[in-house]
Amino acid sequence: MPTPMPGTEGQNSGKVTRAHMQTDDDRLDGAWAPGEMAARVASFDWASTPLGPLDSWTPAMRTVVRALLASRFPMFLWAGPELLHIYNDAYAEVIGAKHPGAVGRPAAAVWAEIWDDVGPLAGQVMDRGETTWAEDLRLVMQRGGFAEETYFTFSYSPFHEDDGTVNGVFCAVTETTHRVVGERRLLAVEELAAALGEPTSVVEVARASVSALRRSGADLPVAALYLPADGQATLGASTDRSAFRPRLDPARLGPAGPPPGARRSWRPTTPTEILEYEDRPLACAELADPATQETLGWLVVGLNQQRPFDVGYRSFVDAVAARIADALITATAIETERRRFEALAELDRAKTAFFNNVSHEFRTPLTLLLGPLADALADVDHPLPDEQRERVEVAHRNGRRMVRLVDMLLDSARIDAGHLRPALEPTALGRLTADLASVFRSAFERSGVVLETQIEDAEVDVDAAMWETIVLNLLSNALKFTVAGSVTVRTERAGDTFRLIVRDTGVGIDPEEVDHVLDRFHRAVRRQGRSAEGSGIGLAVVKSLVELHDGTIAITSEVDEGTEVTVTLPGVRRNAAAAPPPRLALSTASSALLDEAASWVDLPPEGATGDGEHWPDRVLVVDDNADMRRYLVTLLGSQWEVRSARGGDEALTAVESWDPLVVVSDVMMPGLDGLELSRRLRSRPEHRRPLTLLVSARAGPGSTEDGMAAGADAYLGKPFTAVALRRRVEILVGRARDQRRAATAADWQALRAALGEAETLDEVVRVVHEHLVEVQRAAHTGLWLLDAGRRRMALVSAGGALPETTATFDDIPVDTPIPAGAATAGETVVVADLIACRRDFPSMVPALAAHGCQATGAAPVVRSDGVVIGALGVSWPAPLQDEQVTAAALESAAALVAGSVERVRSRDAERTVAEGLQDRLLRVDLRDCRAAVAVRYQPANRDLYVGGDWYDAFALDQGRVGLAVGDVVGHGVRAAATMAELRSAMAGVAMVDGRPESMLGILDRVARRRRDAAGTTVFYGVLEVEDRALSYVTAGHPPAVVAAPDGSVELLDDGRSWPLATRESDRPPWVGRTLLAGGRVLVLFTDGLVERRHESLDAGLDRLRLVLGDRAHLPTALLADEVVEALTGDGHDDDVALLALRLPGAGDRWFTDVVTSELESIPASRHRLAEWLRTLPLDDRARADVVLAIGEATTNAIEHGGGSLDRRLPVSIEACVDGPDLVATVQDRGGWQRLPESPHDEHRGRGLALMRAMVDDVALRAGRNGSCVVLRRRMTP
Amino acid sequence: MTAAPLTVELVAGRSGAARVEGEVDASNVARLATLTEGLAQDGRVTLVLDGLRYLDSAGFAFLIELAGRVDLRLVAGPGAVVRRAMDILALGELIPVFDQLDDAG
Repeated sequence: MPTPMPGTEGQNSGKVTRAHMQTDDDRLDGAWAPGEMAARVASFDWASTPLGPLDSWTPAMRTVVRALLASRFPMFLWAGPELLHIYNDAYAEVIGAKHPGAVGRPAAAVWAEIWDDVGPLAGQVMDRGETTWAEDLRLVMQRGGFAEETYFTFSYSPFHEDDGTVNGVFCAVTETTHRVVGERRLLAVEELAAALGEPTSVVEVARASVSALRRSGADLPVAALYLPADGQATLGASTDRSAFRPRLDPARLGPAGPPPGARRSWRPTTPTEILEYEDRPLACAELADPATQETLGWLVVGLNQQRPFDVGYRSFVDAVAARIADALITATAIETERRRFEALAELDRAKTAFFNNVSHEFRTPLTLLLGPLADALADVDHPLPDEQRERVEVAHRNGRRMVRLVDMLLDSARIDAGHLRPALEPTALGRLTADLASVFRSAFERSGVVLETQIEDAEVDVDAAMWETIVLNLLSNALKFTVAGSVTVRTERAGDTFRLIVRDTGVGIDPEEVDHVLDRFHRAVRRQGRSAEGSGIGLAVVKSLVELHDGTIAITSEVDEGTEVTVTLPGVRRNAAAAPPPRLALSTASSALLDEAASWVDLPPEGATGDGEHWPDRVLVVDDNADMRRYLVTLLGSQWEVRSARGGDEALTAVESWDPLVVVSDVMMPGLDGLELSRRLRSRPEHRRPLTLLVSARAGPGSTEDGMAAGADAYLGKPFTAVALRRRVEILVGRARDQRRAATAADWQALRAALGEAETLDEVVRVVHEHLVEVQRAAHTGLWLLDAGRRRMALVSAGGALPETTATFDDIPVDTPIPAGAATAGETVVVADLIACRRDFPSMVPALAAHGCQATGAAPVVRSDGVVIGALGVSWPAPLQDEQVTAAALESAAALVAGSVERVRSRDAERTVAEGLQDRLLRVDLRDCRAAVAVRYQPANRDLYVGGDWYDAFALDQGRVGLAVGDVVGHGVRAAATMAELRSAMAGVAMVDGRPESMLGILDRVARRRRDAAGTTVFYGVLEVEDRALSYVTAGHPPAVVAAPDGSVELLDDGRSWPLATRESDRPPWVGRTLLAGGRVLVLFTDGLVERRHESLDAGLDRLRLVLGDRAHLPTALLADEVVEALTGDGHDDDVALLALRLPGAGDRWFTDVVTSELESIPASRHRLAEWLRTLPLDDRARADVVLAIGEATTNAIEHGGGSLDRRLPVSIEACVDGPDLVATVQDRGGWQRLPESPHDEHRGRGLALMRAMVDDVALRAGRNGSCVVLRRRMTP
Repeated sequence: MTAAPLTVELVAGRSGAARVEGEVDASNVARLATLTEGLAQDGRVTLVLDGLRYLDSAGFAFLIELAGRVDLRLVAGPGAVVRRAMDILALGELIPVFDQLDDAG
């Protein structure tokens, strides 16, 4: 005998055994097992069932029944062909309220609600004796008084009688509802948590959580998150936006305040308070921040009616609410932080802009201050007395210092604004540093401080000018704060990095100050130094410059021991041999710094070694006396490049071609004398104006005044000493440089500003051309851009009239040396004299010479990411004198152009997007609208951006048409997007409740949810086509107008309300009404049509009345054209949208018909037309002609513009008497680019030929909303 | 919405000849095709168009197509409404057009 199995089965079998022992197996009227079901089965009146009384049951049946009754596992037997229900106690619990009624009843009756699911399974068992298996089968059963969602895992197996026949279904079943539903909910919470992983904003949390909950429809059929706004609960996101009310009183969603420490509290609610429609159980929770008790939002979820809202359900919803609340807390914190950061960034930008402006403002007066001071100091003829000189020197020195500080501020601001980028070049940085240090050597020697250098060279990618500033500032600081001892400059290479260490034995910095000395405007309270001067900006600039090189700067200091500054730069090149020797060309700022440093050690300033500018030191000597000329040339020739001229006229020519900095001229000369020469030169542009020094025997105060009055810059009386003359010229050369620098800077500033406003590539080129003409006397300017394959360049725009042969330059291969060479090589190329170089450029010279060009050049146009995208080419009418100057200027211009090209292109890209958007949006859907409609949209001339104007027309139910025109504030993609939202909201609302009075309130609510929508103006009307009645409302929009064929015009100015989202108003809007009978045309438009600057809206409306009155009889398409043309032909500031509509009918001078686009509708329409034509002064033949022409146009419109078979679009036929002419239009509403003329289509060709022959003029037009044929025929009575 | 009125009536005593009356446009050109089908005798069809009040390019297209299949002759007198359009399209170059039925042979 086998060992009994442990566990429930063994116990059960024990019980069965016990039952067996307690009851007589063969007796059929006793209890078979303990328990309720055993008793019920035993006492059931089986005799009244097909199974018959218990005692008639077969032994097999009895055995099975006994076994199942004894089992604690839910089991049942559906006995006999009728499948009568016999089950045990465990199963009775599963079936709830069905017990005990199910006993002995047919399964199909007991399980009527799930019989579709399980009946076939049972059939499978009964018919074929197969065993079935179902796992987690979803069954919606009625066991608790409601349709309940349940899950079961079970197996149906055949119950075999002793003879092997199948006489029932045996089933062991497990209810898995709790597990299935529990897992589902767990998954939902996990998915939600994942979706809310990184909340970025409250709105995003709302969107993401609802979007995640959308997948939990089984547990949460609907879900919405309301967010607090202005004391209201505003719908943030929902699974069904149309169901939830957009704004609610928070009291409906939760208690006045959450209980302390609680994040949420569930509140039963009446669905109708929250849902616009539907009636389903909801649960609401207020989500609060437990720390602050602040309400973050409200979660509203729909409940699954097939599951009881029990503890499990409740805790699931709690978990969902908790996740969302957590995410909201995080998002709120992030948003707060972001706002704070944005505010700080804005503050910083403002500060930078302020410094920038201030610095510019300071520079001019300083320059004006320093000039006279320098003159006074340099004046040999009127030398300053010693006491005065000392004072003026102090003033001058400090003035220069101030210039330097201002420049630094400017640099600092530019660095902050990101405008300063290092021009990295491989540089022998050790050697450059040594050279820079040597500049300071004399100052150190005079001071008694030893300057030591320990140089290790390395080739590093740096911006040499920036490095100069870095080194000189550090050295100047070291000298400033070192009274005795030494300053050591060391450079070394450490792997990939380069280090500069400047160490001094100076006064040191207090420990608490060390960390701040690099901060801008922080000036350490330092001990005794050579100078108390210090702006606190030098080191900050150094730090910024180092950081621009991705380097670091570190400072260590000991009080009274000294300071060590270490600058570390990356970018050391491996092989240092190739680096060119550094060129030392100190910038003016650096010279000033040197001067300043020299002043600390009582050293007279040395002349700057060169100022790095491009203007050659040219002096033109003008004298009619040959001896004098020779003398002057000799005298000045040792120091400057000198040429001479024999008189004023010759001097002017020389100035034009040679461009000297200074002209030294005699006053008395035959012909053009010195005074007149000065006057003429004075009128030259600042950046090309030489300064004049007049030399005359007529000494004395009076003659000086004459000379100055004539515009001379300096005056020297004869006799003069050589030294005095040289001094004067020296001063003037310096001043001329300053002046040119300032003028050039101003020019660049102007160019930059003008380019900043350019909105098209044409404008960019025009602006830069004007600049180059002005500054460089250029003849032509062109911008070429590389094609995608970088094989050819296309001329995008040209400035300066190139003659007819421009085609030569339109599209050029990249191997053309100029301008393409500039783009391929990435270098600026200038050919100063084309004729001289004609052999080098055989192909190019003749073409350019043909346009009167004698010099040409091009500079690469380089995008900010370093990619060359094209070239800026320029040509000049005369050979160039100063290639270097020209090349530099051209390069700078190209750089500015590059920025503008990028900007314009990105703008173009945005515009394309916006236009595409608008194009799609402005297609009017009038499938079912039986009216003639024409729409026009015209963006503002001035602004290329697409605007927020829109029009719309949509068919509503029951022969009604919704019509709208609106204007969103602003332009561009955002406005277009806002417009799209309002427009779709409008169409959506119209479908549900198209009444005008409802529309505004709903639109207003929509607008309040979208920030940019506030202030939108709208005109909305509903037209009852049959009754011809229009009811309308206006939200801040100009009134629409209705014009009758007789010329009378009505303004639709009833029904006015405020622009959207601008006022709170509970009052329903007034609704205006009018009739569109008798050929009256309705014209909707946006304010761009009538509004002009400096003019009232009424004046514009009066103009519209006049224009419309004259044209009210015209077909809508022509009317729309002419009205827009007449009112905006002279330019308009704003976008214009217009919609004109006329209902079918016929009258004195007008005819309108709309045919649904079936061919069968053609004859009736033709007959209507013919009938109307009979009222006109036309003979039979002319009438037949017109009928045929319009018939052809109609057929064509139906066949080709009438949409597809399943989407027929109407065609409108309009005609009118226009003066002596009959004018007709046939308009379809198909897509555009479908002109009804195709050489491949003989049939259509014949139609067109007939049309052309039958009337005097046929015009075909394709537009966004379909094509239009315009026919015109003179009527001869 | 109905197709244009159209009748095709055989001419008594003239095999393959019929009078077309009413209007022909895109809405009923298929009907014209049906009504004239099987009209041909010895491959010849003669259509008298004097009674047509309207004939547009859809109708012409049919006539030209028909002329490709049968020996088609058209009769339209100088006063016929459709004559003008036929002249404009130089239909006579594709299909023989006669002023009277007797001329059509």
